[in-house]
Amino acid sequence: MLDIKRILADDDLYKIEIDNIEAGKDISIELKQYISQNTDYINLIDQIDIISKKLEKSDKVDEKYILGVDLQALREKEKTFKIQLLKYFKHVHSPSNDNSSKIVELRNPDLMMDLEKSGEILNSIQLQNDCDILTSHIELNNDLEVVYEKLTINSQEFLVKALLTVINFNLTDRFEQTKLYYNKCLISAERALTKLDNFVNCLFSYGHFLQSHNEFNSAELQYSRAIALATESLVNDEQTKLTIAGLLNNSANILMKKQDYESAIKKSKESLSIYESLFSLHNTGHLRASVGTLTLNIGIAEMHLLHYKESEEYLLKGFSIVTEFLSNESIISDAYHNLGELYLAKKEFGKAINYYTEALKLKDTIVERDIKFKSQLALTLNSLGIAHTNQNDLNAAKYFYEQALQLRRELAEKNPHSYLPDLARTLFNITKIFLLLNDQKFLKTGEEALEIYRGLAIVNPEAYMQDVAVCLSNNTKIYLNIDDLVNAEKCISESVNIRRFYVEKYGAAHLPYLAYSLINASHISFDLKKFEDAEKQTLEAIKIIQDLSIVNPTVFKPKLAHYVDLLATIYHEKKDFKKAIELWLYAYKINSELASLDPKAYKPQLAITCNNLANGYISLNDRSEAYIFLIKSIFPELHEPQHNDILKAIEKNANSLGYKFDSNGALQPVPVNFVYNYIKRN
Amino acid sequence: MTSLKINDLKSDDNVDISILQFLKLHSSPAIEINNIKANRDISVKVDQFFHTIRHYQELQSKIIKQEEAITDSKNNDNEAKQYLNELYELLKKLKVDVILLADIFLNLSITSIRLEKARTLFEQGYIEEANNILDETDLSNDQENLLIAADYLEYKKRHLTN
Repeated sequence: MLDIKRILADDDLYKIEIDNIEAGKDISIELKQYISQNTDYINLIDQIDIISKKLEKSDKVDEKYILGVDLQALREKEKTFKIQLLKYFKHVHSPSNDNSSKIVELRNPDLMMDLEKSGEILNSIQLQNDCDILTSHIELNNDLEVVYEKLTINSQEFLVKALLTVINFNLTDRFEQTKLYYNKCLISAERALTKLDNFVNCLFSYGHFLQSHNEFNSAELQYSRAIALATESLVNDEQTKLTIAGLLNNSANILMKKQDYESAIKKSKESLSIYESLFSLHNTGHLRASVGTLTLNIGIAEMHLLHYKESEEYLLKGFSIVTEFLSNESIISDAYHNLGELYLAKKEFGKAINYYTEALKLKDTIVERDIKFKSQLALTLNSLGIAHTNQNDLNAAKYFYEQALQLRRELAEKNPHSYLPDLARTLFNITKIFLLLNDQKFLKTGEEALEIYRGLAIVNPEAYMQDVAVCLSNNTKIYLNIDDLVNAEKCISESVNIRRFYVEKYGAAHLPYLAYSLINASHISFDLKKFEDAEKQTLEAIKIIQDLSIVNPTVFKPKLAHYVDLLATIYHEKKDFKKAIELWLYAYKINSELASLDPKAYKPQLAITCNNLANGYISLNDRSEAYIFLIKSIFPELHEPQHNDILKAIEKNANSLGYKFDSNGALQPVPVNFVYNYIKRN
Repeated sequence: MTSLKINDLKSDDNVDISILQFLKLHSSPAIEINNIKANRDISVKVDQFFHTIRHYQELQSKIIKQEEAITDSKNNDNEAKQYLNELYELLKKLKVDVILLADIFLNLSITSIRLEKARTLFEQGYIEEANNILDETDLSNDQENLLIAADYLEYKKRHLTN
């Protein structure tokens, strides 16, 4: 069998065999043996044998002639039969017939040799039925294909109608009408099962429409459907890849707007990988721009997640693409600005200033040509102000804020809706600088910033109420600076109310801010001698911070010590000395723990508490304890100082100046000799 | 994003070609949309095309009137400024939507007589006329009949297979 299969499989060998049969030449032994097993062939050969023998025996001329003709005819028949049989064998063994169960059955060696039985298997009526069904199938598929094609056209007509409707600004229900046509478009497109690419394109277009009308969730839904369909489709051509990359990119942009940066990065990276693979094949400007922009976007999203290392990697890569290949100044200036933002977040202020300065140079040039870029210029100027503030270069910060302020005033004048928030932000920033420089302009700018934020919060409280609270806290400092305690109290109590509202509405995340505002309020109440209010405010703040310090001791324990210290001071002022000392001892315990972990950071705080304790014990007339804590306030490293230790410590430092911290935390030089004499006297 | 060649384009070179041909051969919908969104310069040809659209012209004249009203009043009328900004935004959206439609026309693989007519009218800036060609009742009737036909043929196919 193997040999005959080889002949049937090899077209050249097969042709040689056919040619040999036709020429009456010998065929291969394998084929001869194979054919000679066929029952019909055997019958034919038997007939030929009989006629041959008769011919040999016959001695009559006319009979011989007839027999000779018959023999010749049979031999021709044998030749034809052999050829037909060989063709039949080849057809049955053809791999293209592997799907037909009937043909596979015919390959049985026994059936191959019995054509009658083979014929029974290939029942002609059955075959005709099969043929009819197949024909109907083909006709149906053709009809369906026509319907699907028409549905596709219908979907495209609705798609075009949707876009024509959205342009018609005179229609009052323009948005709803457009949505209706898009939905009809999708019904037809989805039904045209064989035109998947059209359905994907319709979903893409609808998603884009929804996205541009700020319906982000619905837009994302359309994009997700389109991505799933395009990814599942067997078509893996470049157009499909480009479509998927575009869908992923749009989806990522929505996620960025929703501040879901992790998902945005995931989608952007998927999109980027497609664009990069296409870019390696076709070096086009559009693909290059997409690669550059996506790389920068990933860097920005990573920055929001505080993944500075990854952010730097992507921003620098994107930066090199846009600066090397694109000549668009606004994209390049944005790339510089983004790097500035990164290094500002990383507290590498020098680097940040360098990048912002480069961005500024470009933006200055762009604004000369196109005033639409003023807002971008103002943004970089404001960022330069922030960077210089952090570098403690207050005059430089003031210079950049003043420039940003001028631009933002112009912009807000023309377009208050878009630019008032920016103006308020710069006013707030410059107020802080004025405060630090003790420039009395702080009152004007601080009040203006607050007024703008109040206006914005009326329209959009969710977005701006917090800014009002922050501004109020800042203005509290302004009023304290000019000794206007009444206005300071007004500001801080409003700030507390806003913080309280946020805690109630949005939960525990806002608790620290409430505590900070409460403490600021307590300080003012204290200064106004409203000790009951101060006590109440501080107790509430301590309760909040105590709970938070269990979860996050690193951040909140120092604050807890400070607040407890303040509460003790309030009790001291209320002449409740025992309670005050009890609390100061608690603060002392916390500060000692903190100072043992990080002496440089927490010794000052410990010294203040010691000093306060000394005052407390003096008030209680306990001079012995008072002087221990007084010494501890000067030498906080002495944990349990004995009299001799103290004297030794003082003698050692007798010729130098000691130090102590006043109640405001400022370092005050204290002559050690004075302390030495004081202790000796007592 | 990339408007590399945009500044080199001269309007005279593109007088005889349609907006769709221009977008296909000399620019791309993506480039123009990105430029519009980023307030960057757009191609002269595209800008000229916008001026042929009636809705664009109407919006433009509303903007000019509003700008004049604000200048004349010299008042710090925030509402008037707000309305002007809304008009600016609408104009920007209109430009983007027009280019998106151009993109759709460029990518249509299958087309119909109605679509052909709508495309020709669009290229001439006749948005409303193009919209009228695509009559909602006609399209909906077609859709209904096609869905019935698809239902029937799909049912028949399932029946035949079983």
